[in-house]
Amino acid sequence: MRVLLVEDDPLLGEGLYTGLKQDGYAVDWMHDGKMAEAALDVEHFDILILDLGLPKQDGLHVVQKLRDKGNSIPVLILTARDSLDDRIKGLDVGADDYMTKPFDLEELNARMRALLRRSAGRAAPKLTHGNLTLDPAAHEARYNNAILDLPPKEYAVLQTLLENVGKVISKTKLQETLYSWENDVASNALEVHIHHLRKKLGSNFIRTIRGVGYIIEHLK
Amino acid sequence: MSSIRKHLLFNLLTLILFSWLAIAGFTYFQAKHEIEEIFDAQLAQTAGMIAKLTSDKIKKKEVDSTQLAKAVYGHKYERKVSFQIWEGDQLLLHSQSAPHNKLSPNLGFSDKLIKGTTWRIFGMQQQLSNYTVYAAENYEVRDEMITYIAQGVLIPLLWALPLLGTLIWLGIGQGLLPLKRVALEVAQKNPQQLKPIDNKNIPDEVIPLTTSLNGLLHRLDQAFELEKRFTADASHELRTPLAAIRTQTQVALRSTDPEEQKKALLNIIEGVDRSSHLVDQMLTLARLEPDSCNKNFNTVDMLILSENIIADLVPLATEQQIELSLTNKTATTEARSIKGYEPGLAILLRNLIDNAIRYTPNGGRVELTIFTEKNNCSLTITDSGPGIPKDERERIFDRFYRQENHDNYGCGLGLSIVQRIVDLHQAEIRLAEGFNNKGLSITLLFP
Repeated sequence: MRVLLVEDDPLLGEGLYTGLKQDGYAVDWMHDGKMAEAALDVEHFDILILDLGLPKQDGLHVVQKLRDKGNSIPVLILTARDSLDDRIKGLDVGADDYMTKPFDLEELNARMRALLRRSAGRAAPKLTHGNLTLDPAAHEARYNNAILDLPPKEYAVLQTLLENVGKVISKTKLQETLYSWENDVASNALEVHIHHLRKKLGSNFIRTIRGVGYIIEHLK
Repeated sequence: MSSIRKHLLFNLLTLILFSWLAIAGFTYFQAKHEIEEIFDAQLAQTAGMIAKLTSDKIKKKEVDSTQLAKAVYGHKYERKVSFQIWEGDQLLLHSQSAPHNKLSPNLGFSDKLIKGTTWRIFGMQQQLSNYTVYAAENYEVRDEMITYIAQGVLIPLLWALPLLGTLIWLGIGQGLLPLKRVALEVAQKNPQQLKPIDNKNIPDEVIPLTTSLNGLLHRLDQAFELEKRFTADASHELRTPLAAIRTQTQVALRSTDPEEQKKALLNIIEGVDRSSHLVDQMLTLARLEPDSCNKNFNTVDMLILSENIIADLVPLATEQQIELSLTNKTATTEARSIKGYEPGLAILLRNLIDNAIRYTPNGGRVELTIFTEKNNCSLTITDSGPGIPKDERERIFDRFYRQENHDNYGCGLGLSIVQRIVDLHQAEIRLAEGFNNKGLSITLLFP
């Protein structure tokens, strides 16, 4: 899952950046509103974590512009402004959730999972496909009731594909899920993760659509 | 006595009582005098009439004392009046109440004690015959009269005094009602309810009180507003470093990588340092209250103060390869001395010079100049830094304002503190371009 983090405070930003990476997210960190807008224009992100009191462009403006452009990315606001008025305004311009500082990293994570789940069109916290169950909260996958040993990157690829059952996901999109743009990615890294997943789940679980990407098909 | 009502009542009643007593006393003496004169005149007239009326009849022996003795007292006062008619040493005729010896040895008015009471006596010589006529009257008669008159004046007072007291008490109470209303209004005030008191229906005497109370309420309201805003700002500003500390702590707890853990822990220390810096600055700001500082105003030699502060900041300047200098253009100690709060002035200069050093790129310069303008001590801090655009210059003194494009060293309170100290000294602060029309120069003009 690719996260855009927008926070101007260096210490808090650094903490969030590391904390979210620990949870297996691919994180890009921007320090002001203008940079955040530029990044949102050119890149795909799964979720936006946004501070309100930002230099150059206020967070609320960023959300408003985003929604004006028809972008439906889940937005979670993190801010020191805690008045009821501020919260209502934040949600009314188009944010999906609102947390006031200081907050708990685990709670932030849970809320992010809920937002991602909803944006994928699901309500159940667990993803199920045949004998495979994925629990995003625990970062755990079970196949035939046995826990699968999945490294974070393989888990992320599997989750993205499972959230889009029946749809082809392009290689680029999958790669974006795994890496923020600062990280250099070896071009064959994705193929390696797919290969490992197939070894654990059976070779037909993930199908390759040549030249396009990968798909997990609906169960017959 | 602390109650206006009791005080007024006491004063008014005492005044009334004393003036009444004075009037009564005056009336008593006046009446006594008049009564004595009237009674004396009456006595003389009585003696004359007796002499005239009786002289013929006595000669003809038509009346004597035995006849008179038969007469019954017709009036209660008859016992208290009497007369004698003498011819030489012979008592010719006398009233029953009169003694048998001469009432008085001399003619005219005299007083004599007879049977324990004092009598007023008038004696006269009949001119045609050789009779001496005495008319006498017991003083009791006049005294009784005078007592009646005095009582007539004093008794109504005994009735009137309590009645007057009650009326005065009620009247004053009525008069003090507006004060009560003001007191009630003031009692209802609280920090959330500091609206001024309505001057309508308030008597002229109380208006100065309500006006100054309203002034106080206004100042209180402003102070509370300031306090509220400050607390809100402060808690808001503390949240971000606290969130950073919490997040970094969670990162350290979860991490299995020793490098990552160490970095997070160092970040926690930095977060705590930043929070304490913020708290220190806020406390400094809070302590710079006009009341506490104005009491500690002394004569401060700005040159000595500047030298000390520059000496403290030289290491920071050297670290950033900045040339820090002090120029004195004043001639005498008086010219560079001001009345002020020395610890505040030290913070003022340190903040401004420290800022100048931090905002000036390596290799630049910062200069402090002391000079006089219009006979007033003034200071200018000039730097070769990036300066501040004209439209942003007013905002830099706002609390928690941070210039964009700058690392997050400060908490945005330094210049608010500067502004507060400048206000405390009723000084003026001017911003302009620094060296070579770039950078910033800050001039402080002390009154």
